[in-house]
Amino acid sequence: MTVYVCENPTCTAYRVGVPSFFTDGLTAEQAEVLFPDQGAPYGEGYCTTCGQKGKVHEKEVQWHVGGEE
Amino acid sequence: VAEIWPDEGLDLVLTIFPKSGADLTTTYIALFTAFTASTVGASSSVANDYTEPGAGAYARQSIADSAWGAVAAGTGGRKTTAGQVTFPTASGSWGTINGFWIANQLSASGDTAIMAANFDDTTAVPINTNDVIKVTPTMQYNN
Repeated sequence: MTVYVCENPTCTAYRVGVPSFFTDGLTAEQAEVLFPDQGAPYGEGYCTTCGQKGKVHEKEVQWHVGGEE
Repeated sequence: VAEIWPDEGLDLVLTIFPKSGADLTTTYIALFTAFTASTVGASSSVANDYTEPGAGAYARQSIADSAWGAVAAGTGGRKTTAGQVTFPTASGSWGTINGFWIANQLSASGDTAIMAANFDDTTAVPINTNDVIKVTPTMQYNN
């Protein structure tokens, strides 16, 4: 999967000088619930915390899921 | 609450000191769904045993070496605490989180579990869509 970094300084997950990582992206349902007044875009690469477009940090990243390596 | 430095984590630390191996300027905090809210892996457990959420926007978060605070007295040892880490808002279920662990790299491929711990209140935390989990990690060496 692709790891994105949110560099929006107003994002609540943002820490100064520290990248905030996420995968996937904001879903349509989330956009409607979390940002109802913004008419915000959504989809792969949009930060699920602030709704802003993130940048690709690293591709083909893996987690330890269900014993996979 | 349980916490552990697995063998592979101790090996990594001993490689840095006293063996003068390459230092880690950045580590990564991960969440685990394995084990329970009051248990962690064995000393022989490895990173692959600390299963993580597989979707829903989950990602390990980086911790710079400078984020770790002043070393202070712990319970039977010395400890340091990093600033609070906010994981991304979940876009789906992450399952039940039983604690956190520190990895030496972002991706799971070939990584090492340095240390692992339950949450202080030994509470399992189910993460569902739109939930946010924040963790303030503490690391301790015992005497």
